[in-house]
Amino acid sequence: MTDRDAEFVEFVQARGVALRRTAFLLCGDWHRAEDLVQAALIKLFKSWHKIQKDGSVDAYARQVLVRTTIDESRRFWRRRERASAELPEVAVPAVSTEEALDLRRALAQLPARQRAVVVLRFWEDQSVEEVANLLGCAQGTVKSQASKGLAALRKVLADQRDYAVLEVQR
Amino acid sequence: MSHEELTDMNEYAEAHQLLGRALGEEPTLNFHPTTVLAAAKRSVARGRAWAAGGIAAGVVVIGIGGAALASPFGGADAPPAGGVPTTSAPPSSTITVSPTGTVRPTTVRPTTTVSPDPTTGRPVPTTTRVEPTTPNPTTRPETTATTRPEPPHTTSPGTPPPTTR
Repeated sequence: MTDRDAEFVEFVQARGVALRRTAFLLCGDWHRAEDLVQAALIKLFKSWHKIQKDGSVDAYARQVLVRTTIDESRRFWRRRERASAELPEVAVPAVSTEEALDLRRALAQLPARQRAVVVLRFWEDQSVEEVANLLGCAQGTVKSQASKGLAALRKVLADQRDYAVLEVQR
Repeated sequence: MSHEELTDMNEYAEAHQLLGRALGEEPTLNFHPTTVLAAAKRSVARGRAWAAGGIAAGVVVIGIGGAALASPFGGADAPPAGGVPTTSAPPSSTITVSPTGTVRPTTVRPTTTVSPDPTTGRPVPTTTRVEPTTPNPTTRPETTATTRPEPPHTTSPGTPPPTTR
């Protein structure tokens, strides 16, 4: 195994889990998140030397992952995600709590780009400028998309809680 | 810390907490780093194979195109584009014989201005006449005056009309 391979394996071991969490928040499915992470890592390996010279492997990996997820969500034959009142049973792990399911459902209702802004801004702790550079848009767009995404999440969660309260009262 | 910054921090913390709760129970990682490495190497090799194939195809296409342009396959015998033959007969004027026996080439002659002779009143050609390229000796005209153009109407009324020589 060459030095390049050893460094790549080390990076995957160190950052694979975190990248998969980000991918899950972006797509809402653990299996699909693994596929996305592997696709992103393969793209990363192709330009490993160049990225290492720049010294921003983590940022590049995040960028590739987000763009791969957005690109895949645009393909019509891969649009398996549907915004619906009921989650499909196959996508619901038995150990998930009701709140986590509500949050995933709320996240799933956001557009792919808006969800990417929310995840990068609030989960990956990226600044507005970093998110704008990563997604190739203006900083004002990032701010507005983050605000709208968060508001949409709150609204969905509030509606679901109201619905749950009504169900309990009945 | 201003109220706005505090609101932003609260919002940020709330969002981070929400997203953390959305993860829920996390399943175990199903892929191994060495597996990803092997897949990446295969992908790189596949890309290189495609690139090499593309370059080879380009070289073949350029070679065939160059060979076709050099025409080693009897390209000189082929008619040129558009079907126009490269070797054509030189243009020749056709001779028509008038009923009076004069020969007139059908080639267009330049217009000549004929001014009348002040002594005889006859029109004098100022330009040389176009001779037929291949005149038939049997149909050679006796006189060439018949082929002369008509005099202009500026002649005096008393002068006789031009006659043939």
